[in-house]
Amino acid sequence: MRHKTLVVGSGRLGANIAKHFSLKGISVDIIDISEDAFIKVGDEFSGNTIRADATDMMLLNQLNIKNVERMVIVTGDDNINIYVAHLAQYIYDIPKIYIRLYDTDKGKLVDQDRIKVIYPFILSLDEFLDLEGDQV
Amino acid sequence: MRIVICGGKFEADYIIGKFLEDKHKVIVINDDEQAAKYISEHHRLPVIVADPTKSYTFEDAQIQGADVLIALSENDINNYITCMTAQRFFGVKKTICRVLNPKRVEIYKKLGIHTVISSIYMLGQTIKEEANIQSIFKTLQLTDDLITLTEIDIIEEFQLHGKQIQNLNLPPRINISCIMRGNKVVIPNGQTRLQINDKLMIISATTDQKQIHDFIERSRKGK
Repeated sequence: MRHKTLVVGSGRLGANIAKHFSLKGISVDIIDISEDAFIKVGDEFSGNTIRADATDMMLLNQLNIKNVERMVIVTGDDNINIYVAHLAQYIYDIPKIYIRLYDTDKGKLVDQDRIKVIYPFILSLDEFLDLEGDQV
Repeated sequence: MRIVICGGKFEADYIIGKFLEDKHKVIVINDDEQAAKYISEHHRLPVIVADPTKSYTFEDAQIQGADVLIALSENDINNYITCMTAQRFFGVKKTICRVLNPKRVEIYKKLGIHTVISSIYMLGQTIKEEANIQSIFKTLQLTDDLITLTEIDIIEEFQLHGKQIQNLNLPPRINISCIMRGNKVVIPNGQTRLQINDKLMIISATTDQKQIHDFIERSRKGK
């Protein structure tokens, strides 16, 4: 049974998503290449913190990836996010894949029918126009 | 051919030289200013200083429909993105991706990159082949190491099976003394045909043994 959530990248967004699922009682693993990054997940987090390179397949193989239902890929590097999303889709066939991309242009490299993309740029622009009450 | 070279310094420099010699049209993209300057001065060639993982770089460089793109940077993931972008959106006919981590060779191919190269992976393959050769050669030195008995298994790869000994073109001073076929001992003559799984026993001067190795190597490549 797929029941786990795997978060790749323990930045502010990744750490908070991991904490959110953990508080809801969902089993969560969070991966980051730097140990210090896990400070952000805080004490309430009850999942596993894994210090490793998520682009290394050996690691993903060891993680019982067959149990993963949802993968949230939010490292600070768009290229890494796309590569890990390709692994998640084409090698591991993870049912739900989310990815953050700073560069909207790179969205075309992922299969958007299958992978949900979050663009901070678009969200910020929309918010700005909203705040400004833009009429155009 | 139109060839696009992305990233790399000395590797790029070398490869660009080769392609220019052969009169290919070379487009060079490098996001490292130092490397770009080095290449540009060396080959008197314009180098586009930009990030080759971005589509607009390829638009500016007009790589649409290029014959080959080679991604040479030292970042495996960036090379992957460069090749994917080139093959999916710019109609580049063949992409070649260099990786430092040899484990990525198989994965990148699976994900659809046309060609993936890793020097360590190639080294590994070469060692494997060498080891193969060594394991089918058993040798025994006789009479103060002056005479050597070499035993060779005829595997399919050697392309020696089905041939008569007189047509093998054995090197001078090398003769097959006897053949183990199953548990039979065959004393061969020129008309004897080799079969797969034959074990050849060759007695030669120790100084000539290298010739046997070379002969087997040649036959393996079908030459």
